[in-house]
Amino acid sequence: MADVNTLGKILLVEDDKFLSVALGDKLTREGFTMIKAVNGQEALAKVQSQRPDLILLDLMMPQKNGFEVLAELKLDETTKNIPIIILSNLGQEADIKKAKELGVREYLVKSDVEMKTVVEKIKAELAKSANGNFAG
Amino acid sequence: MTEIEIRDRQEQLNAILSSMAEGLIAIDNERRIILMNQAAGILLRTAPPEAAGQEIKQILAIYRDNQPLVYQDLPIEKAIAERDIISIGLLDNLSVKAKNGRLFPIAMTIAPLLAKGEISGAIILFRDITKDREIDQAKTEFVSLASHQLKTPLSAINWYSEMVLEEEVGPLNEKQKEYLKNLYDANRRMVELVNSLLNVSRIDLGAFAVEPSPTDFSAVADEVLTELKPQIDLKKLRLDKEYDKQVPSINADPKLLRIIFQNLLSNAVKYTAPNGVIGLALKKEGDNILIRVTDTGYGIPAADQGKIFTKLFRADNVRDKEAEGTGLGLYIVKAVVEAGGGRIWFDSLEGRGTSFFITLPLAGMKKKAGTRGLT
Repeated sequence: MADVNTLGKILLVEDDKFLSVALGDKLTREGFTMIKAVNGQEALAKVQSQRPDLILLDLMMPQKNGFEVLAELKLDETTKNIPIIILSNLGQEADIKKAKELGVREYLVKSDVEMKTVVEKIKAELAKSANGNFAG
Repeated sequence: MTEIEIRDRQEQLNAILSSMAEGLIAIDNERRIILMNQAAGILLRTAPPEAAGQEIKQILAIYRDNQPLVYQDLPIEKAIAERDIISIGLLDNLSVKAKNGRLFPIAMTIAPLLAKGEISGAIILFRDITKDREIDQAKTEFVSLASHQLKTPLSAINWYSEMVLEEEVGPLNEKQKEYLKNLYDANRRMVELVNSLLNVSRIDLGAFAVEPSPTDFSAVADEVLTELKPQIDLKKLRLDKEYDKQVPSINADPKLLRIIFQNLLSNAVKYTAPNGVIGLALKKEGDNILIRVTDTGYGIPAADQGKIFTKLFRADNVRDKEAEGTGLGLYIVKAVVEAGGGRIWFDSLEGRGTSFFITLPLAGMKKKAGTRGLT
């Protein structure tokens, strides 16, 4: 992992201020380094400049929605392997399917998930991607 | 009738046919067009005299999802083979390609043409439903938007109260903890209510997806029971599980199955007094899987038994005891069971308890496309 002092660098892409503060505070307390973006455009720029270890991605956002961000990240060789967790209130089968087809492994519905579960999922994804890197 | 009368009658019928807003086509047993009205001609961009005698499939090319329908799926063939009237609506998702290449969504009714008790062809009545489809689309978008908008602030309340309750930002006294727990629980109920309302709106719109995959009923049931364990323990309820080893995994939509277990089991827990007994049995019975959920709870008053599957209905005896409850659960369960090809019924005695029974066919649920899943 890039940053040795923390559990990992997380890019949080969330346009709702209250949710962004809640998640940011929680994950900082848990020991992660947080980077934030409030729309899809900013998210893509921050992925390039900050190289996060994992992305928490909302779907309904202004200036490029989450699906567009996903598609662009997957097309780029340098970003396509960054693990992404979708954290959205779109919970329809079709949305989940679409995200999975775009290479997402974890899809969480905000209103149904506890924060501690979000933390667990982040840790699990980071562990998986670390193992993958060593094996590869 | 005199010849003049016959001719007048003929002209009158022609006027009716050509003034109709719907397209009308009649075909013979060889599937050739014997009559087509003007509206049909305009919709299909084919002049009626030009269409006469041609095969119906050349003139009325039916598509689903931009693919031409295969012969055995053609509603015309079904109507003739089954000697039945077939209605095709918005949710069937069929389109027709006009001669100029324009594909437009249609609603149609096909009736076998009977003459002297023999089928001599079929009558097809159809119309362009582009507008209906636009309205449907707008509804779907509204549901999706409303869900997103309502859930965002609810998620914020959830997460902040979770963090404060966990004392991440400092210790709480007992009263603060109790109040905050109430706030957190009330908000969870609000989330469930929003989910239920969304499910009801999808059911009422008539289209929710059924996506069957091999599903182990006992695994889904146990998952739900694990979630309910805190409430079961709190009320000191005894749980009797009776899973028949013979119950195979069948093709069922796990999300729908979860909705069934979740609603029935949480009702059993909610409407049973402390120290009571709730039971869940899964059995193979003939060609069905039988789910039985029992409780020793408040029961359903005889006068209310006919109404419990009605939307927003809650029985008087539980309304006093349990403020929680939306009156939507059983309405949703019934719709889900029926969409899965199953049946639901119950036995209940006020003050003694209730047993719900559901059967779902071993053959599995039939896949049903739909833009809206239930959550």
